[in-house]
Amino acid sequence: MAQRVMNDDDIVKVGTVTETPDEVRSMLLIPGWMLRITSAMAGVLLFVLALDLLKEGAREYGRAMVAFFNVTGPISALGFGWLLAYMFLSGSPVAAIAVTFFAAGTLDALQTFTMITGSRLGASLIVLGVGFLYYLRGHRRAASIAIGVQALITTAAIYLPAMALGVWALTSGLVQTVQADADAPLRSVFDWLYEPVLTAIDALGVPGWAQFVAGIAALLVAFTLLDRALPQVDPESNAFSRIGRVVYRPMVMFALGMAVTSVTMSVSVSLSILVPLSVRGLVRRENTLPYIMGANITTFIDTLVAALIVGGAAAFTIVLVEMVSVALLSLIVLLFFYQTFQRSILRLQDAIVRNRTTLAIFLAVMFVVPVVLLIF
Amino acid sequence: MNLLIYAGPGPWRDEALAVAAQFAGQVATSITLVTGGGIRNAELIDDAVARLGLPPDVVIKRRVVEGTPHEAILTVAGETMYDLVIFGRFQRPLERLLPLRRSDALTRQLRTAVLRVSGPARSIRRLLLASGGDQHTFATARYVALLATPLQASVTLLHVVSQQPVVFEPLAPLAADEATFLAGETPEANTLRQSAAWLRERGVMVATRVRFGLVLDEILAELHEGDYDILAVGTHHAAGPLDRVLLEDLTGDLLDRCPRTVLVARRAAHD
Repeated sequence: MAQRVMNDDDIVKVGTVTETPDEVRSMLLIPGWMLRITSAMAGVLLFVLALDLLKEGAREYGRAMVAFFNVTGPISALGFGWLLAYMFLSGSPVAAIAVTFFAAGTLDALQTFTMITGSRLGASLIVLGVGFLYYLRGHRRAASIAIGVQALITTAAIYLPAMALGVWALTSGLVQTVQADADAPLRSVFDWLYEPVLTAIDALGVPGWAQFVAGIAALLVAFTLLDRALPQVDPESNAFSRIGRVVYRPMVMFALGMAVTSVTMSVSVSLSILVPLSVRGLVRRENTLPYIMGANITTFIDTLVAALIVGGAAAFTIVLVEMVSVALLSLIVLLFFYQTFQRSILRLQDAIVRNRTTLAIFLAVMFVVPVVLLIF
Repeated sequence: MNLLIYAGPGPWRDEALAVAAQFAGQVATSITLVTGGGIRNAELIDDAVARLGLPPDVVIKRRVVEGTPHEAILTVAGETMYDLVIFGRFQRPLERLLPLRRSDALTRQLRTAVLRVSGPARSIRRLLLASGGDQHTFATARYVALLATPLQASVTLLHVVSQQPVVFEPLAPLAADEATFLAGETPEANTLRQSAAWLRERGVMVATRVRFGLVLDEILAELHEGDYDILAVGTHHAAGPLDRVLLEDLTGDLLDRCPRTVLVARRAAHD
């Protein structure tokens, strides 16, 4: 039985899963919706615990890590977030780490903002990286790689100008009035749940670095659990079932990308969800571009929640500025320059995937750029 | 064929009549000439009859209607079933820059096939049929054959591949070049082959082209590179109100951006 596997935030996998009789039996005994709700609840609880562990660890070892990577300003923080996303093969945990660093006082607001931007840029390359490995192994994957390239250059084309807008908003004092007050009630509920756990960890004398590593592990498991809680898409009864055959309005695909990613919280998982909507696993280029643009906005929802839980109003504001900047830039492009933008992105995509050499050069540049950014 | 031709005032009136004159006499059994603006434009209909040079066996009906050209065409088109409605582009060149002045408004409201004339009048020698690769292609091919056969014009069937696989698994092998795609067994390739064969059976010279990229851009690029006289497209996907909200109106976009004459075919019940 072919099945979508979503173990991680930023890798698209379509594999074949053979179900053992025991697994089939357990699926028959426990309804699917109950498994999903259980996964979602466990995922949320583990997510919050992970953030607490990361915050504790970041207090002690965050500064050492930041010093080791020479993160001294917003540009190096951009490279730091970008590289960490490569290491974690995902953007969301890195964005969450950025927020905990901010909460622990390791990074300032501007550095946190650019590190979150870097995490998204790095996460986009993961989709492409996996495809490139297939490509090098002789598979005919040029067209498949194209969507990874498209996701990456679309993200860069929107995020980099949006970053400038966000930096201006944060440094000009424009957003100082934005407040988020959901911190207190959330905190009190989670404190009640986690205080005994954290007290016990402290009592055991677990070192900070171990807490930090445990926090990262818990974060990755939390995202896996949340992925498993995703609702199934019925391709036969969906208004978007012809996504491979007809061209939808850009604004419609933009809204769909936002809606789907507000549930999946991952751009690449949202892309993989397009597969069951398309009979032959194909989507039109016209449809994917605005979809990625929409997905790139709501992919911040988990970071927003993380900011609310560990960083309070200030951290929430930083992530919100990121979301609003990206949304604003995306809407300006969609409403006024969409055709030009679409043509430019797709021409660049075609140029990059033209042959192995151009693709290898592009990938090399993508690995070198964040390292260079760390110098600044 | 039962034709409805707009003969009243309009920016592309002369060109519309010149294009219609090339085939109307050969394919039409009945032609209705219509003008808006009331009786003061009646003489334009006589002028159109003279320009069309129709043989005596073609039945000619004259209709002078009050109101705008749009209202006149819609009024007369609503009275009986026409096979083809012919009119010149009403949108002036600079009006294309205004986002709300869509040039497909009239075409969208008509329930019949439309020949919207634009650009300098040319002898119709080459037609480009833009195919979505589905069964609707045959409906468009039927209208194309009606024009191409008497004019001995050649037809190029064009399909634009803008699809790309979403994931890295071999769910969807996609031919990356024209020859491989055409030789393949995809539904689109089969439709192109069958449509080409159908047109050849009717004595039409047919070529097939496949391009890769954005649909709108590739159609316009082929139109320009191949120096075609008419672009033939279908309009069929927006089946209901939800579709009209969700789907991009590619036919409308082509009508807006295409500098040449556009034939918009509609699928009849018997197609």
